[in-house]
Order: sequence, then C-alpha cells, then structure tokens
Amino acid sequence: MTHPGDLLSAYLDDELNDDERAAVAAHLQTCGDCRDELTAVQSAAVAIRSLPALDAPPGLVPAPAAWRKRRRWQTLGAATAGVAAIVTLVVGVAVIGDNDEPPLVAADTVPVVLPGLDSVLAGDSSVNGQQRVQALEAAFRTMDGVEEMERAADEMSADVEVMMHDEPMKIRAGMWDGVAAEYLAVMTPAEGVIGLFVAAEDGIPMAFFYCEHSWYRVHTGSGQAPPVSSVTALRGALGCES
Amino acid sequence: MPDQEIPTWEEVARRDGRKIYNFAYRLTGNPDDAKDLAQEVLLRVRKGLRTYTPGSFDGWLWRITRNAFLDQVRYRKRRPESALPEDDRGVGPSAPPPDEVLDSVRLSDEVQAALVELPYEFREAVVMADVVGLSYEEIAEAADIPVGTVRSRIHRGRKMLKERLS
Repeated sequence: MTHPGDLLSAYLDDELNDDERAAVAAHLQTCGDCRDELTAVQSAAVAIRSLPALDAPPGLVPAPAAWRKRRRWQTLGAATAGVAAIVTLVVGVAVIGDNDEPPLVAADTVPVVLPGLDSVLAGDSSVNGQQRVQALEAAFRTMDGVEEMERAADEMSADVEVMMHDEPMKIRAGMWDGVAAEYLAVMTPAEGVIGLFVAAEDGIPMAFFYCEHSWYRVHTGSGQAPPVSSVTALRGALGCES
Repeated sequence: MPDQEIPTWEEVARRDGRKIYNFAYRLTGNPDDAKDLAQEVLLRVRKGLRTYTPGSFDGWLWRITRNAFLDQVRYRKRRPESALPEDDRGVGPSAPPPDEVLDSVRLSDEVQAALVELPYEFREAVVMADVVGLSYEEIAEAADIPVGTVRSRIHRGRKMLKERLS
C-alpha cells in the first residue's frame, strides 16, 4: 500500500475496519517513516489525554432539585413594583441621556390594562401568558449605535453577548420545560415580543433580548438581576427597533 | 446510553456538564469563556430536549456544543476583547509546589497553548477525540462531516500539535 497517512491516527485509535487495520499493520512493518509518524501522533495524543480533567465550576451542574428552588425573583421583584414603575425607569433613562428630550416611551405603546410586573414575576396564576408578554414588552419598548452600547455595558458592568444567531428562540411565557415561573415571558421575534428576564441554570439572573437578528444575554458582574433600566438602555444603545 | 431514552436536562447537566466544560476549556484555554460556553450549551440542551427525537444522543449533544462555540467565536470577532483572560493560578498556597507538580503544570500549559493555536477544525477534532473521548463516528455526526474527514483532521491536528510541542 501507499503510505497510510491519515489512517495512522485511526489505526492508533482502533477506528479502522479489519482490512484497513491489517494493511496498515503490514505497511508499518516495512516503513520506518510511517512508524515515526505513528510515534509522533501517538505522543501528541498522549499529551492531550494527559491534560488534567477539570472540575466544572460551581453552579454549572445543578445539584438534584436545586433548579426548582431558584424560582425566586426577589431582586427583580423588589425593584419593580409594577408596569408604571417600569415605564418610569425607562423614562428615567431617557431623561438622564438628555434632559431636553421628550420621554422615549410613547403612550400608545403601553397597553392600557396590564398586570403589575411584580405579579408577572411572582408567577401569579391570574396573569396569563399573553398578559405577561404584554407587560414585559411594554417594559422593554425603547430606542438607539453599537459603540454606545459598549460604553453603556461597561458603565453598568454588564456583560452583553449574542446568544443565538439567526435562530429565534421560542420560549413560552412562564413555562420552560414544563416548569412554571422560571420564565418571565416569551421572546419570539415573529410575534413581535422583545425581551424578558430568565433565570440561568446556575441561578444567576439574566436578561435576554432580541435585536437586529441576534439574541443578547445580559448579566451583571454582581450576580444580581440586571435592572430593567439597564437592559432598556442597552437595547436603546444598540438601536433596536421594537 | 441507549438511543431510545431521552434524558432530562438535569441528567444531561450532571452527566455531561463536566465534559462540556472540559471541551470548552481545552478549546478556548480560558476558564471564563469555558464556563460561559458550557452554560450556553446547557441552556440550548434544555430548550432542545423538548423537540429532541431519539437518535444518537451524543452526536446531538456535541453538535449543539460545537454550534454554541462557533456562535461565540463569530460574535467575539465582531466585538473586540475587553480584557485579557485572568490567570487563576495566581492565587495558590504560599508554599512552593514540588518540582514535579510545577513540571506537570508547565507541561499542561504548553500543551494547552499549542492546542489553542491549531486551526479550529483540527483543534475541534482533536479535542473531541482525545479530551472528550468521542468515537470518529460521533465526531462526524457532531461536526457534520464524513468520517474520512474526521480521520484526516485528527491525524493532521495531532501532527501539527506534535510539531508545536517539539
């Protein structure tokens, strides 16, 4: 046979069929270059396999049942007494940006009757999925450049990352994997919903939002839930259209 | 695991969380990136399990892991790094570790550094085979490439690594 080349690693890994293995073995008997090559890839494989197996960092892998205990939203809930408070926060951001600008939340984008965000966050059974979506949608409706977002993210010591590119997430209000209240709302761009808060697996509250065909995930360095105002400002700085 | 069983998210996290983290760590050489990536993978697994149809679970899981990593890389390209990775080893016991420990840390560092220099396709194939322990078949499924390509990438990846280490 000609030099087996790529087959040498497969030979080493016992990933060849019987005929291939026999052919490679026969070739190795007669070819010093291939024996050297086999030794080389073997030592590389051994070097990698000798790397220590690292423990997963704390919180990555849940203890049994730990996930379900984390359905608490005190931080966020305490900071958001209701939709009115949220809208005030949004306006507050705008006012900090420029005192002469009118409030950036147009009245007609806020549905007239919405459940308080606190009851949304608490998973109040009287609040249906649609109402949750609307309440959160209203909370996230705002405006406008990428550099600006970077600066805003730094100031808030928030971390912004694209979660999923070109792959709209379908998450139902208050339901994920059949567990209620881990989710605060839904993000489905096709249905016009903008963003919401979700708990991460390790219990660090995060905000998610969709903008310009990408998902963003926001979390603070402190492990506290990102304030709605921060998320709104980030969306604004990104120039997201609602 | 038998192909017919669909695990719960928690089972996946407990059984494969550490492997996913090690994969991510060896691919990136950075603990923060690795944790972020592992979290992202578990998030996608959790979401994806609802629509998962029985098949090769490992192929499915590692495809998700790979896609999450590639999405992260794609995004990082658009956003310059703000800080250098932190070195956790700065904090340690005050007594100097014995020489053999130092040697093994140094060796690991060299291997890790050589690994992250490999072009992605080769690094991925080598890490999947030698860190995670996937079969060539599983790697082919995860990376959506023919088994022949897997053989080639693993072999060339190891050769490149060997050259960088000598």
